[in-house]
Amino acid sequence: MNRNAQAVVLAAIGAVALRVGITDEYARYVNDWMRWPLVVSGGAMVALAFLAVFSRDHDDSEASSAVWAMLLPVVIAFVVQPPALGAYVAERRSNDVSAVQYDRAAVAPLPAGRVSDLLVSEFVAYASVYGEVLAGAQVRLRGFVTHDEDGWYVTRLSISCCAADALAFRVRVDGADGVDGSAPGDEEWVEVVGTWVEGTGEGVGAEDAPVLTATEITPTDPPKRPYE
Amino acid sequence: MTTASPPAPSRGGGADLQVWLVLGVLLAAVPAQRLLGDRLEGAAFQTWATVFLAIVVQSIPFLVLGVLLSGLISALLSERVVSRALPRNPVLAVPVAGIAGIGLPTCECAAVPVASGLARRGVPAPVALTFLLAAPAINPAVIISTAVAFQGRTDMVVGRFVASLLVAVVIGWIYVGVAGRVPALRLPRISEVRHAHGNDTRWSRFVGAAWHDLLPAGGFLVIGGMVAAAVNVLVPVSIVESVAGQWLAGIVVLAAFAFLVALCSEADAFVAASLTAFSDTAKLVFLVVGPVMDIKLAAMEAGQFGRGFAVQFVPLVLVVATVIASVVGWVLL
Repeated sequence: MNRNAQAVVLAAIGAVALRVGITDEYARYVNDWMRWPLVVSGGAMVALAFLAVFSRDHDDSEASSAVWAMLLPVVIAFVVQPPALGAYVAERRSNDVSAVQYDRAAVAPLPAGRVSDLLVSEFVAYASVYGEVLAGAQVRLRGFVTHDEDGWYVTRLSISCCAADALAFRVRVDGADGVDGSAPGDEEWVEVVGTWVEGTGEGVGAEDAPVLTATEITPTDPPKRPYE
Repeated sequence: MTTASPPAPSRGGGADLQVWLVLGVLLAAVPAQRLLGDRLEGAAFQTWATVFLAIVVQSIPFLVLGVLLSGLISALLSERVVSRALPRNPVLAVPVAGIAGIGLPTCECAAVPVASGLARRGVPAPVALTFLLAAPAINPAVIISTAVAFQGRTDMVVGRFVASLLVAVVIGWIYVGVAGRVPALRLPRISEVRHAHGNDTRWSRFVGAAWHDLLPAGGFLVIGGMVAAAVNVLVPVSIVESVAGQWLAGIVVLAAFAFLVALCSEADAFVAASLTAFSDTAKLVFLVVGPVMDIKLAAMEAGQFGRGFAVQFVPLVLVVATVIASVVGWVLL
């Protein structure tokens, strides 16, 4: 591929990086701390493309045809506009408890008499090793719905670098059902208030997900940042 | 500044054709989106697209950083400085380069252009290869993320550091010791950045090197990312886990898994920690193999250093990394 064509490819991929970084789309693909580096490097790519077209300082050698491959992410970003990962991934992973990051010192019993907001991954981790923290406390979880033969789950994915390393966490919901009395549909976002069924999901690498007896289920909008 | 000779007319015609072809592909995306946008709704395909774009998007800042560093090396580092900083004997320079890998806290995508830039400035090829293997594996960001993922498992962190450094140094020594005697072992091809005659300013060296490294590396990264995303989406973890019980099969499968899923070296520890069914040694193999060799690195190295080199280098690194990590795991864990 010659120099001018390469410059167009570079400007296009730089523009994709800029767009993803400036809008909230970045949250579908990468973690928060990647956002501004993405904007800066997207800008750098566009700048380098212009520099290359308007300066004639350098050699005109042909670059390898692998450069054509760089058009693919640009086209996919535009044609497919892929959504954040959801139930498809969650069904193929189980609760990856041992991978949860939590701070031992910060694990104090939840306050009685009011509802505490927890991440789904926190809830799963507490149930597995710090059951005493959860016992009797009212918690609120936010996530999307997945199903299996045992019932339905409030589910959340967690990423540490990018969506390729997503881990899934899920809590089975028991008791109250959706607004109209039936379980909510797959991939709907819900807020669930309830209490932990003591003993469920205990032990690192537990086969079964922890269970939450729900008192209240509210449909909600997908959050701006889909992953925990 | 203008170059002495204008491009030949036939080249000029070809140039325009390629530019139009690229623009055509980009513009074709508009009707394609209208026509296909709603039909591409299969969950597996959409998941693949998200993971593929995530791998590409995640690599872009690291690739740009690596390319800019490579440009800085080309512009600022003279061959005299390099020869003074490194021990003259490559056998000693290899471990120095391995330790120096601590200083580049990035993913593996940044290391390929940096290693190529170093080799261009007169660093012996085996020494540059050692740096290429060590930097993404033993830098502080990777060590910290490993410590967080394996809470309280100092042995895992130490094991990862020791095994990764050993792999980098052993590979460097193999290339120092064997390269002269076994002609079949190919050294990396280090392509020179050419300049218009008499225009060798620091700025032009910087832009020239950055430009020279960025596009091919990006193209090969995309090709590797496509395969990695497909494996990530199509192979359920439960299939991988079905062999977890047998220690040898566990090691081999996790080494292959690390190669194929091509995770960022700052994130792989969290995935490794979640593979609870496997032995600690198998997890260590996963952590050591991934940063030194994976499918997107293999593609990038084939592009940067030549296919003949990569065909030997990729399997060599895979075998050495798997064996060393298994031995270190057996001793330490």
